[in-house]
Amino acid sequence: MTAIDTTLSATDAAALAEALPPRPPRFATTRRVLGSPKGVIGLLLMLGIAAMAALAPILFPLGPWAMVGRPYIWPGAGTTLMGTDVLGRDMTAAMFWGAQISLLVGLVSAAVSLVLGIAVGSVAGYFGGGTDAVLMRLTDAVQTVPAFLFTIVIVAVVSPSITSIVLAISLVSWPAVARLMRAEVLSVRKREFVQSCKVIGMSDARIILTQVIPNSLSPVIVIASVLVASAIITEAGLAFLGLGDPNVMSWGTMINLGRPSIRTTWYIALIPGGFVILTVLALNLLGDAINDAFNPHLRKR
Amino acid sequence: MGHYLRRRLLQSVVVILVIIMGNFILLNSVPGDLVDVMAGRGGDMDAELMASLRERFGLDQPLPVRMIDYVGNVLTGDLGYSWPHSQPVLDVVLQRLPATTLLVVLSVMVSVLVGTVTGVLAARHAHRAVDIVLSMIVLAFYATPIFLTALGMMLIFSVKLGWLPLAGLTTAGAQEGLFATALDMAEHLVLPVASLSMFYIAIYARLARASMLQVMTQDYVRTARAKGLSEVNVILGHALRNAMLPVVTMAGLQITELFGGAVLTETIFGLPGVGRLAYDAVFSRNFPLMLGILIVCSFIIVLVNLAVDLLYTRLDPRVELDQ
Amino acid sequence: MTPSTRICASGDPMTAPLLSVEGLRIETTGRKPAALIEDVSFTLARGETLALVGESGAGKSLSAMALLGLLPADAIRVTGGRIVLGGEDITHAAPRRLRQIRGGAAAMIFQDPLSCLNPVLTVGRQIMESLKLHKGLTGAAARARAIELLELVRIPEAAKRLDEYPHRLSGGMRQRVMIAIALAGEPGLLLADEPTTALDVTISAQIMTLLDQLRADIGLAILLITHDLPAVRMIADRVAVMYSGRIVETGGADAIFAAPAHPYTRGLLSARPQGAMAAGAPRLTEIPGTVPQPSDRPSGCAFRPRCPAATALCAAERPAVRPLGDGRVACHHAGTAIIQGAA
Repeated sequence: MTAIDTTLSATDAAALAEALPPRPPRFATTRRVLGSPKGVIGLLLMLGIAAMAALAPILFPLGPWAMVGRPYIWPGAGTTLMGTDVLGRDMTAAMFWGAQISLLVGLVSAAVSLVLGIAVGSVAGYFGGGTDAVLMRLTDAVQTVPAFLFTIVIVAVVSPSITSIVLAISLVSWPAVARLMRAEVLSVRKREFVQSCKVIGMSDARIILTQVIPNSLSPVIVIASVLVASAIITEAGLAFLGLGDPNVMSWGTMINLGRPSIRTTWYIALIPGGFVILTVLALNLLGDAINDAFNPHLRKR
Repeated sequence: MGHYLRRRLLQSVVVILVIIMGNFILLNSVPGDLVDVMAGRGGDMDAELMASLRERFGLDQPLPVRMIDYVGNVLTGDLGYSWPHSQPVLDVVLQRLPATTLLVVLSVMVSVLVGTVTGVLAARHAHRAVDIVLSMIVLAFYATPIFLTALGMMLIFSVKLGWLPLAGLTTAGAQEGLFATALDMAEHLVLPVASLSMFYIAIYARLARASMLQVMTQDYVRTARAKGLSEVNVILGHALRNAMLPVVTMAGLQITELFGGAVLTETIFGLPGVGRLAYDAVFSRNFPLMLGILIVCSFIIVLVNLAVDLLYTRLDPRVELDQ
Repeated sequence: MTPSTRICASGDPMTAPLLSVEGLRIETTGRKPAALIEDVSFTLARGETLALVGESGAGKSLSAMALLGLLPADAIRVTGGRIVLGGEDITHAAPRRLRQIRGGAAAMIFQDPLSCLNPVLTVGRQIMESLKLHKGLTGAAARARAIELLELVRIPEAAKRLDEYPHRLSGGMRQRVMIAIALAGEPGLLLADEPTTALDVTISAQIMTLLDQLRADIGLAILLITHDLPAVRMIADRVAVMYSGRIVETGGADAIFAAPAHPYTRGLLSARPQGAMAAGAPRLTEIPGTVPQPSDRPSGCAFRPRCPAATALCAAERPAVRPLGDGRVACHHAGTAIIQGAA
């Protein structure tokens, strides 16, 4: 803001300060999220998954691929907690290392989709007219193609790797963000403080970055946890189909490995499946809590 | 109404064109072209022959020209040739379409019905035991990916209990006759449809509950009560119809997503549909087929979206004003 | 036997009032119940219009909702008094009987006709629904009657309007449709809850005229809830003034407008009609302060903190309703020199 201040007269600055939206008390939303049982359970579960990811190299320094014993040892039967897989690898190690991959793919894909969606949505909403029409038809087109099918084809064309998977997931999930962002920007751009910024001659880029985007973010933040969850599901689905990164052990990879023997040693597929469900559940709970915190009026109903 | 629908129709045409062009870009980012594929299949092929083949297929043309050619071809139904099937891509996809259509239609029906009823029930008993139990079940459904539901159901109902067939759409060498065949097919479809529906049941239940709670506070519901309508008629005749509006929108989205979900369920349950075809195409690196499937599915979805819009204007006469 | 014939059968319809409310008390449920309405009594005869006036929060709408058993049972309850409609005590009538009465013997119209009409159903369907329910009319007969009703509420090209959706109609037209729906069950009593608040002045006057014509033509008894004082003056026979859950003054409309006895009524009448009044949230700038919340009403007279004539007696003792002239008033000082001087 200092850069702007130098170009403004004192009265302009005062008028601008007047017109700016009031800032809510800091951490109010965080406190509301942590005040709900959903938020607390969700957060604790996510912290648990994050701890698994962080502890994987310490607890299982040999990595997820090391063979520790006979194949098909049932959970609890041998020395390992969750048994061994088809090749005698430690399932527990695979689960801990897999947490890294799921979180990585989930967070990075969500971040990339957010950046893409926020960029497209705010530009379309702010400029309107032809720009809006072009960007929205592009959004329509991406949303029309079945997301998972599209992801499969992109990964197959580029060949499977963590990068291509993250890229493919982001490429199909930004439209939802863009739509939300556009709707919010359409209302924000009419507000007084944006108009004041235009009057004092601020550039469009600066207005979008410093005024429009910060004031349109709440609905987008609310869906962030859904984006992470759906990215984790998509990655697991891809790996399950055999389209995972062959160099990393993810939960989906293990489900895929366990599938041929699902009639007998079903734990190999079910344990990683349970971790996927648990993570998604945690993210949904957290998402619900954040949603409630951002829309407190909805809770009273 | 005409104006609104005309606009949506025009938008749909643009969307189709964008998708076809996107496909062309995707197809061209694959290393090697059609002639390389033929060369790979046919063993040795000298450079001169390859060059003449490229000329014949128009592959020597500049990119924009080829893009226009491609769009033209797709619009006239030429989606390329699938060598492993020795058939045009469109024919291969169309043969597999009925099984997927059956799966998708049944799944939408089941999830809308079960989900809406659950949501309305939860809304009627909001914040009481019924609602809390239902919302916990819904939360579990909502967190379970389709392929895990499918695997779990298969494990329980086919492998352990043996109640339902493991895979396929029909039993080989089963009884003849229309009724017997239909029954056999239905048995095979229970698990795929159920596993494809569970996640969406959760979505519709959440949507219908929230929507119902919102609608029940509206003034026209009070009017309906003031008329002397019974609570059942207030809900069925006045509230539900309004509460269904977001459900209809979601149904359109669900159909889009089911074409993706079908890849997983059809693969797991061995159903001869488009999803399974896509899976095979990916692993045989049959790119024309992959993109052909993408285009056909997108085209169907565009039509479905138009149908949903049409239905929406029927259900909510105010739509024309919002535009 | 339809409800309306039963009404005529019980008692003498010419002398007994159609509606009589005695000592009505409404409380919130829950651990700390608060009285929203206390000791509200009034009567209403056929072909008569009674206006219930007062600021927002006085409990006017609540009283009307209670008459039809429309209060949300889990939050608000009638805990005392009697509601007698056409000789029948309906205070604690069974839900089934209440449904017959709603839209049958007694119908209700509301403030905002756009939000009160179901947006996804045609006008005709919403009228015919009531016809089917209360008159057993279906098909062509229902349609014909619906057209008659639309004509009755002076909607031009009635047959064409039947297939329109509410959003296509103007505000005044929508309120006429609401009235047509209300009349479908041929009610003796019409509860009109701020029927013109959402409408502009000229349309509002037209709706009031229509209500008055209906009263005269079909002998409708109208309970008009409003803060639109010009409208009250135009069509009301009698006026009941409510303040903070109680009726503080009742009397003939002419008498009250000519010589208001309660200081609150005086303040209400001297308030200039202004934009804010029509917008639904009237503030009486002439009387400082606001209506107290039901949970923290002052001791004695609830109007005491805002009253220019309040004395120690007003704080110590709640004024009882007593006859004064032709009407009744609940004020210790009404009719005395203190009031005349303060106003």
